[in-house]
Amino acid sequence: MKLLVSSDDNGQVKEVIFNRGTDTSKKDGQQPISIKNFCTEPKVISKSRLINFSDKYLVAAKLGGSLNIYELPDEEIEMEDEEKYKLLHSYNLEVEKGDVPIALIANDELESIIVAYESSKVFIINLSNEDFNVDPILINLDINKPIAAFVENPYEHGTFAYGGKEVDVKIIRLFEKNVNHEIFSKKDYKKSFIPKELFKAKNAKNDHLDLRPQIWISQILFFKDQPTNGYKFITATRYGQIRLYDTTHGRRPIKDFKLCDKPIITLSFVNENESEIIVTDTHNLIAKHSLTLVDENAHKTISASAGVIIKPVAKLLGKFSEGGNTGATFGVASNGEILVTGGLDRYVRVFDIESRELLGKVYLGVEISSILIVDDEDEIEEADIVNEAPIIQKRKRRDIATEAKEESDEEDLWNELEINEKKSTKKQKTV
Amino acid sequence: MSQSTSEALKNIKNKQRRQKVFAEIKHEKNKDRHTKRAERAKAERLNPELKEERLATNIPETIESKRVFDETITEEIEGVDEFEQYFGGALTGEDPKILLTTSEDAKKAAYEFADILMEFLPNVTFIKRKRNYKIAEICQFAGNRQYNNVIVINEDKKKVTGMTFIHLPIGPTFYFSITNIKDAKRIEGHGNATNHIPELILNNFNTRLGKSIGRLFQSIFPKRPEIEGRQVITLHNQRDFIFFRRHRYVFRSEDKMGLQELGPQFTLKLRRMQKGIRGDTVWEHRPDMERDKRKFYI
Repeated sequence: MKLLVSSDDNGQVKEVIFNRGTDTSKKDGQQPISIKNFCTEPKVISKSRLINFSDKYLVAAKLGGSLNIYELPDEEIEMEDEEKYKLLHSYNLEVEKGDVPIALIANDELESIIVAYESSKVFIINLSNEDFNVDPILINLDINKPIAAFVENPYEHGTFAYGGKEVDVKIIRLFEKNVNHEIFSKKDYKKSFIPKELFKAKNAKNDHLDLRPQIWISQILFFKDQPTNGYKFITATRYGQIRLYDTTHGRRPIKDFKLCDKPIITLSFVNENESEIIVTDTHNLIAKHSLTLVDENAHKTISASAGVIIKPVAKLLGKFSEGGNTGATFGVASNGEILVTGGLDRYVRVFDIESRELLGKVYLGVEISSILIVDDEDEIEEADIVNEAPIIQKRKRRDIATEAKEESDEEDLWNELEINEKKSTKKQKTV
Repeated sequence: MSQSTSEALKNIKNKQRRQKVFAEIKHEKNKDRHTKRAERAKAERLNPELKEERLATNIPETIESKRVFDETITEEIEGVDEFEQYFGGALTGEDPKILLTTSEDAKKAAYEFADILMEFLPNVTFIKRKRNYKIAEICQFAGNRQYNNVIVINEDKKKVTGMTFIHLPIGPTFYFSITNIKDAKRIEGHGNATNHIPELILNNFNTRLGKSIGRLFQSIFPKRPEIEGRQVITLHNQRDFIFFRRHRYVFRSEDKMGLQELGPQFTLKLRRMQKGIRGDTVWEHRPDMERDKRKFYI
């Protein structure tokens, strides 16, 4: 598989190619096929974010307003290493020197990227023009407080959500639904980008001591099945909670679970029906929780005045602890089948999401803040004896025939399960 | 003991007799070993090559030699880290400044240990810890005043238990636990230290984490040791324990040298490394890390 990893120590991007079963921690273990540094210019060290813009560009947003567009090489064409990931354009956005980019979003309809900074400044940069001559549009969220999360609602064009320390979740409309990339050809296009508040969350209820819960949103994710006339989303906080909101049910969270004591830094859905999430914290936790199954008695607080308070917690489905992660995990990427993680301990690890088994572990030697999966299939290297040159071929992991067979097997299994379920008297607790 | 002797011993039913016979066999074996050793020593004295050959072939296995493979040992440090300011030459001419303080409400032991540290730490200022300021604030104030390191001595139940090293201005933070503190006065035959800037020996800081720790200790001391002082500080890592020692050396002749310990002695063990000023965890010690006796992290 092929990954692009942003390396914080030297401000570059690493291209890592390796197969399943690779483990650099074993002396005689399988070694990665290649690890190469790209995007060496311009050099800005520390926190960077990467995205793939419609398979055409690699965009890297770095500390202090530097935003670079690199050419994403075509997989089919063989290229020299020097020609790969050529720097096409570099923007210098007007932010403070130490301002951290917290979100980098690609919007295909607008043919633009949207980058948000901690200082609550948001830029929209149009990339439809290959000369990159459209000025970035600056949008100030006007909250005078730093934000820690900024996300797009992928199910409604033009709506975004943000939150931060003592900034509770707000859903805003940055531009109207009918706005697309053609707007940039108009003269007064900047007027179409004015934020409008759609929803403002209310803090969770006071606790048993009547103390106000503190707010520090670190992640927001929208659900696929959005209600009409409202929004459904989940937030993670730096106080270790996750909260579910349904705006048709009011402004407060409908569910509030405390998952861990340390701040949660990433949150991602892993399965198609979005019933499971993976959270990582600033420590070494990478855990899978269910959103449908709930442990009723998982969180216990003993209070002198109010007695024992028992709170439910979204059921822990398991931790990704194989491979001995020791540090905070910032880079998380998944394709529904595998989970790729990387962070301060300078390793990239690949897990099977279902079984949580370690599929690969590669030491990169640099701190990782962001990961992109370019290709999730293994590559087979066949040494051609006649030419004595290795040819890299893509292996189709699943035959279509076997896949169809497996599907029918799966159906049988489900039917069987349903019958079993009817027989069993034990009720499963669901929400 | 061979199979037949142990069988023969088992057949002796009287316990006293059996013990006597066993003792005799053991004595014989010991005697035999001693004579063999004496003979070997004699032969090796006459022919030193034999000794070299024996030492080359007979290498005993230790936990260190059986250490679990760690790929970070052979890899070079990539990019720059927070200590770049010290190593990159931006600090030339300026010696690093250290602010030393204790945990809140510290007792006598902490102040005594601070005295011990101040004897060898160069450019150090001790500030009595006040409850008004948090560590993050102290670091901010110290950073504004061009300090490069903040060291906090941790005291618990009238014993020094740990030390936090915070590199300024942007971290990282290291927390070590401390054991076996021995003041110079308690070391037999100790010498008295002078005010010279010591030389520094860092032993076995091999892994990526170890290199970071090595760079931390280096960044505490000025880059210009005063060699005329002949004083040397050793930080020796063995099985993830870091031993602190200080000596004065002298070259008596071309092949003989003398060493005098100056003290103090103490042992450090890394418990936690964090980014920034007590920020995100990079590495933290867990009890289950000690399950595999051959796995080391530094």
